[in-house]
Amino acid sequence: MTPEDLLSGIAHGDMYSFKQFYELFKVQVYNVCLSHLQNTEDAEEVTQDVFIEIHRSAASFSQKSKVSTWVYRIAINKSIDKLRYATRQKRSGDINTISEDIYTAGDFNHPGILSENKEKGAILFKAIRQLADKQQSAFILKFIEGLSQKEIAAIMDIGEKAVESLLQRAKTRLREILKDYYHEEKDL
Amino acid sequence: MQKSDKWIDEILNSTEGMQRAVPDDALYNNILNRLPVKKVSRLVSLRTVSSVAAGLALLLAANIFLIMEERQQPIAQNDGNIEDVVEYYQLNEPFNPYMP
Repeated sequence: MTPEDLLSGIAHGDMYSFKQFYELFKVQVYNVCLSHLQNTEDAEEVTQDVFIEIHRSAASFSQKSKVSTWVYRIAINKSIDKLRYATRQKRSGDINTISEDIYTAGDFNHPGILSENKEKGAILFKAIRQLADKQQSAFILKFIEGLSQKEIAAIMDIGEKAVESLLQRAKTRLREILKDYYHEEKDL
Repeated sequence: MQKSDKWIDEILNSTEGMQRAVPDDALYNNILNRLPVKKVSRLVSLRTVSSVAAGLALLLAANIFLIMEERQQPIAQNDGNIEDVVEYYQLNEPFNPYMP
């Protein structure tokens, strides 16, 4: 069955289709959420939100885009919503309602990073957190999810040139952030 | 190449060979628990309403028929009883206490 068939099944209340759809996209959704949120608990919570949204809006899926593009878009939007909510809570001083890691953007060890790269990976994720929302998403989709610029353009609903520009700015900004980290470490 | 640039490149390349993370097995059940439960429809189908209405109409008609039957029968019986009494006491005959 194609993802489109499964979505059609979900729209008609078929839970078997929903399970199949979940199996097909769970890793993709979870990894996008995890890279954005940098916290397994929050990533699992947002992954749940994403599949609940898919279940709710399966009937309204328009065949204009690929199913995977649509799923990525929901996952990114939900993740950014969560991050913005955390930022608002931080500003209002209500840190009790958000998890510690998402608030402090502490050292995140992505479970998929090779053991010899764990420390460097944690530094990279900390730097990614400091990028603007769109730069962050574009960088994650390109360098962590390994998508093409064309796919990223479809997911973010922007032109390929805009994706290229976002990636360029993200890399430049990351180098600046990392340079600061380097000097901070050297000074210690 | 400066030492810092080398370090930055190593950081940027730290995702090479990265595996994808897999969510916890319990996640699917958590999603199922959070899905809105389909409410059992409290609307009764037209067919059920029609069947119940037909049944009630039939019951009502049967009752009316029985009541009518019941009403007719006692009247006939009463008529019979009265006739019997009239005949027994010869009430139809002219009454004259001085006549033998």
